[in-house]
Amino acid sequence: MTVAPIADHPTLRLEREKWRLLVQTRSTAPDVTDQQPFQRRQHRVALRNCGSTRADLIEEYIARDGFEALALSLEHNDPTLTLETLKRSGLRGRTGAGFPTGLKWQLVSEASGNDRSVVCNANEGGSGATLSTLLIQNDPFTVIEGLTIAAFAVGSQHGYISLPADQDRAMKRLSRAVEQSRAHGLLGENILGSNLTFDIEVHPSSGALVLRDETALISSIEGRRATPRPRPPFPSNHGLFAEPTLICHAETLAAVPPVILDGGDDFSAIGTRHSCGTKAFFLTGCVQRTGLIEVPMGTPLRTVITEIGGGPSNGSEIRAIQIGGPSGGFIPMSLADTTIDYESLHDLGVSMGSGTLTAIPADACIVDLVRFFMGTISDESCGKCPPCRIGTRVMLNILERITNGEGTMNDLELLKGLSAHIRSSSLCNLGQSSPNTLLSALRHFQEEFEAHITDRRCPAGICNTRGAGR
Amino acid sequence: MKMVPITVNGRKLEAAEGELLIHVVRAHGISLPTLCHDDRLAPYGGCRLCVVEQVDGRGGLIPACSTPVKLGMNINTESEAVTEARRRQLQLLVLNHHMECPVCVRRSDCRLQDLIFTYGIPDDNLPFEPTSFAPQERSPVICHDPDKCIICGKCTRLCEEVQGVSAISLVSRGVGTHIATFQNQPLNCEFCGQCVNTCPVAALTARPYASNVPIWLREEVVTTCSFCSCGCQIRAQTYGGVPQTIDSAEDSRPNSGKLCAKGWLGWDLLANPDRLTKPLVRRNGALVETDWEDAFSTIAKALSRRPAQSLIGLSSARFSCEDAYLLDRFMRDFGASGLGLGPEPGLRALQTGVGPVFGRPRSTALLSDLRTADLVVVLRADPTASHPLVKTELVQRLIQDSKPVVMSCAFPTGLADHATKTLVPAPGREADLACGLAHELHALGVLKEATQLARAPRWFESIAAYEPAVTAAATGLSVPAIRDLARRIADSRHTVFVLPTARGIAGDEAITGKTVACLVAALGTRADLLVLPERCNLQGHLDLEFGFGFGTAQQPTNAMRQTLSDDGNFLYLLGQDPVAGWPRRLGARSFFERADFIVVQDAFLTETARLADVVLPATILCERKGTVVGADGVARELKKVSTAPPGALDDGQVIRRFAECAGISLPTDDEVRKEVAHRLERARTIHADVRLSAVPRPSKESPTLALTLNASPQLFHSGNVTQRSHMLSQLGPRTSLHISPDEAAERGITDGDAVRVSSNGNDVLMRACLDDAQRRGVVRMPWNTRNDGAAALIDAEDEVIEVKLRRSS
Repeated sequence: MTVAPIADHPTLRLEREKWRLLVQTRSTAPDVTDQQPFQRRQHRVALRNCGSTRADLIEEYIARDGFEALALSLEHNDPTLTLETLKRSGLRGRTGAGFPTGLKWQLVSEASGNDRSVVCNANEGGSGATLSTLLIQNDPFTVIEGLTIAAFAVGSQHGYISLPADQDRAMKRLSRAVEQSRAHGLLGENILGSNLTFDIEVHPSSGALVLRDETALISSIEGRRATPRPRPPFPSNHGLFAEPTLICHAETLAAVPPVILDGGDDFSAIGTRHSCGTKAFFLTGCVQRTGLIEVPMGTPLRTVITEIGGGPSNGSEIRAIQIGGPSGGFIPMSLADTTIDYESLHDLGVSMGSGTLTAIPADACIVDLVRFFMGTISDESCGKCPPCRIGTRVMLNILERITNGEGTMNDLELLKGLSAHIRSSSLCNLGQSSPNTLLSALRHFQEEFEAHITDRRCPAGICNTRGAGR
Repeated sequence: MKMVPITVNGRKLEAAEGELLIHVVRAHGISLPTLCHDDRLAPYGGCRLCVVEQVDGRGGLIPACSTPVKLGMNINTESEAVTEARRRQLQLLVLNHHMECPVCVRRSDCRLQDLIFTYGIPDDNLPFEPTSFAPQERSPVICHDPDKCIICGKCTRLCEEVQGVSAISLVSRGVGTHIATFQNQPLNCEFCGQCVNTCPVAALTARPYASNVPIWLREEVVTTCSFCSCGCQIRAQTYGGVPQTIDSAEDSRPNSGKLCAKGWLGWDLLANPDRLTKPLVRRNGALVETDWEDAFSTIAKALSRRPAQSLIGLSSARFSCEDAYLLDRFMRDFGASGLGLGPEPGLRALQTGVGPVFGRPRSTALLSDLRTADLVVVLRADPTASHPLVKTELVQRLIQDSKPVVMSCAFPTGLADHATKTLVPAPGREADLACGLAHELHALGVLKEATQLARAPRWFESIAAYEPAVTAAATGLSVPAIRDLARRIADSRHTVFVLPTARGIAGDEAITGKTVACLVAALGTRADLLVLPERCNLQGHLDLEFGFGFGTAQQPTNAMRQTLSDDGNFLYLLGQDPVAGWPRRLGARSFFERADFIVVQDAFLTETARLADVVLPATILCERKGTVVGADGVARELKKVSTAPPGALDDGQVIRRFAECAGISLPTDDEVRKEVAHRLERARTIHADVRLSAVPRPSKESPTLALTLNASPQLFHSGNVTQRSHMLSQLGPRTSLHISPDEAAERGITDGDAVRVSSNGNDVLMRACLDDAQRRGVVRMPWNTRNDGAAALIDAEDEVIEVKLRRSS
């Protein structure tokens, strides 16, 4: 069939004009102004619509240049052009190792297979709301558009968005957004009159921590138990139902439409040389302003805490920043001038992990927090390999012994030895990174552990160091 | 595959690029410990014990079980870092393992223990409270102790990837991870026992094999399973002639350690208290126990009073080649008028069907072809219950190799859940399908070479009648479905046609065998045929050219019937129970009423034995020794695993004593062995021209029957022998009439009702079982049960049986 010129696609253009007018007159949500202190140091790309549109109305999304990037890609009708734009933008995967997104898409597009899939992973394994679920809840259409562009770029007809089933509001809005997209011909056959046929299935997941691993997520979507499997083969060659599969984080996909629209150069101009663009976080803890934020890469942590977060709340003092949740790590305020980028964080032995930034108040006990995170990891271990399944539970037991005031200095050696074992012997990245929080705490706050052990005293007064049974 | 140099422990080796490191390392005699790796399964990487150190390059530990070989790889399998990691790993495993080693049933045979002996564990005292699960009884056979489970996942993966059942799975997370059935329901599976046999510790054990005898006192014997014709190798650990455990070694061929419920659990029938231990002789109308001397003198007297021609022998295809040869030799030398097998499933398919086409009654495919062929086409019956190994091979082919299997079968069961495509033709119309496929393949130009074969013109002429529309009408399949299958065959370089046989499958197996053999022959090197006889040594009997005197064929054709129905016969029946086991309408009972003197040699007092004049207690299954030839034509050794009950004699010995009574001297055991080996070799290597003869005209459209009877074996057994196993009887579905709930509702039948099933004036009483898996229009019942079965209704040569059901009060 002949491809209609998509930039002039009548439906899309008419609708955009119509709804732009409507949005202006109705003004459902106030546009956030740059003048608010929470916004001043932010640079919103992935989160550009969060808080400023009604997430459940496709009209509002279209009015804000929604699906323009998709239309542009389809108009060029050249997947390599889309891949080139992505590569030029320097966009990297927003969790873990930060693999270049353009290269990842290219690997999948070049893999041999008949029925490849694209998957959006919105599982972060935190309990309650997370960066991904909040993003989807606030702007489901950008993820749908990003995934559709991915499908076009790698040549896929099947998309999945995996979202924790217990996130009711995000789930409801996403499902409705998928339905609306279908109704407007933005999903289904011959999208916007092009040759692209693509549809999305929402996969209600268990929300387990292990679903952050791509192979575990594949198992889960296939209807099996979510456990990682060894690589190779890599999902880009042998993924969902043994076909090439592209898996992207929701935040990465949300950044794709703006990147495509500006041709990639604007995005790569933001941030540092190796970490381009912006990074979103879920800012929480003892700061005055909490919520979803997005800053240019290279922003110092201190800026985020003091300017965006507005500094400590209720006159308390911030002693450390916890970044990345259970498998992330602690950064003491003395190192708060560290900039947010893949390399600097890696040098400190932490990673962006789940994308949370927690300000830790002075009256919090680091050892107790480490115990808490280790408990989460131990409970969330998929159970496949012994270092993670049993090793993390042993570490939890040792940490409990310490917080109960029953630890010995040898326990710290045991913890370090077990950490090294778990790091070198676990199957997946989640197991390997499970000692990260503990190790970063030991690196920066060893004296606090020692106080629990030698003085039988919790400096913050949180732990009951008089023994478990007393 | 490209060979690349790698270095292992400083040794330079050549290895195929991409092959798993563990295979390469082990192939060079270097041992690697694992608890979760199994060559039959996809790489898993769970136990982290096979880690090796990368000496150059990136460094660090990599799992050998899931890392492919790369150019220039340099690894150390026993460096300090490696051993330390293994010691720590083992320490973590035993932390959460219920340590009751001295009283554990696996105390002398535990992989975890072996590895701890080898590597030791660090002596630091790690705080850990072992997870304790509430005991749960989910199976009368398989005992599950989650407190001992080390979560290697081999059981669940074998169940899913090899057996295709997925009855158990890992559930829950963290230290609470354990294996469970869906929603903790009672275990409802095929009871193949692979989960138990693969368990490295005592987390899964078999109740019947919970032996207290230490492993070093047990004797290990590997023998051939004789329940069906697959030829699986089983490993028995015996003590004092009694099997303590039965399993199979992973490297056994052809089954690679796989077994089925029969081969794993059926052996308790050897110790069935109903076994005959003393000969019986009829005195004043009743059978009374006696000793061997008396039994044989009775036989000698009876023989001396009759002419030699009055002696007729009927044997079963379960005997070893050596015993079969002895019997054949004795009967011929004595001048008996006939010796043959009963209506053995597979006999007519091979002898009348395949034999004339290939010049020898043998399958051309090996069991290993089931994995390697491009396409497997299963015709006529689902092998799930009758030939479980074939089913597991096909499941592995589908799941692990992602290779296609197309099934055409009127009553599909387990394999249909996995098959690439399942065609459901009218019962008994596979011959038409084979001819229709030949017609299509000829039209596609695939059969050109076949024109060179003997009598081919007549065959080509005869298949011309099988236009797609005609085939579709005859089989009840659609034209596109037939064309699609033909296209798949045409596109494959090698197709294997599998023809399972069992009692009571609709359709004349001789005609089916012939038409499929012709198709396979016409495809030349592009196809092979695998006929699956029911009993373990049917192929051996065919290779020995066992039997004589009933015309040209050994089957109960009219010639055999005529001979049998003569008055005044002396019948010698070995392992045959015609009264209960043969189709009732063959009229076996009437032969016995006419016969003058009957000797039955069997392990149990069968229905036939009750009519006999002398009953000789015999050995069965793994009490026998000798050679058997499986469905694939491979000769395998039958070793004596179990001692026969006191009083029972080896079959060979009984035949020799019988011959003595008749004054015939038989060759020595050595001479018999040599002669058998010679004959089997000759049968294997015989070269004959392929001849394609004309096929019959297409069948007429099959009549629509209200309710069809499917006498396929239920999960474990057709019943002839297996009903003597207490274990199988309690596991298997109750011998009942399976009927779809809709069909039952229409007839006012509820679950558990007594139902009278009738056809052609015969009827049997069965208990109804409402079965969601049962298709409408078909009821299913076993062939043979203690009180009748489908055998009472069916004539083996019948196409298809219509039955009527009536609720009985």
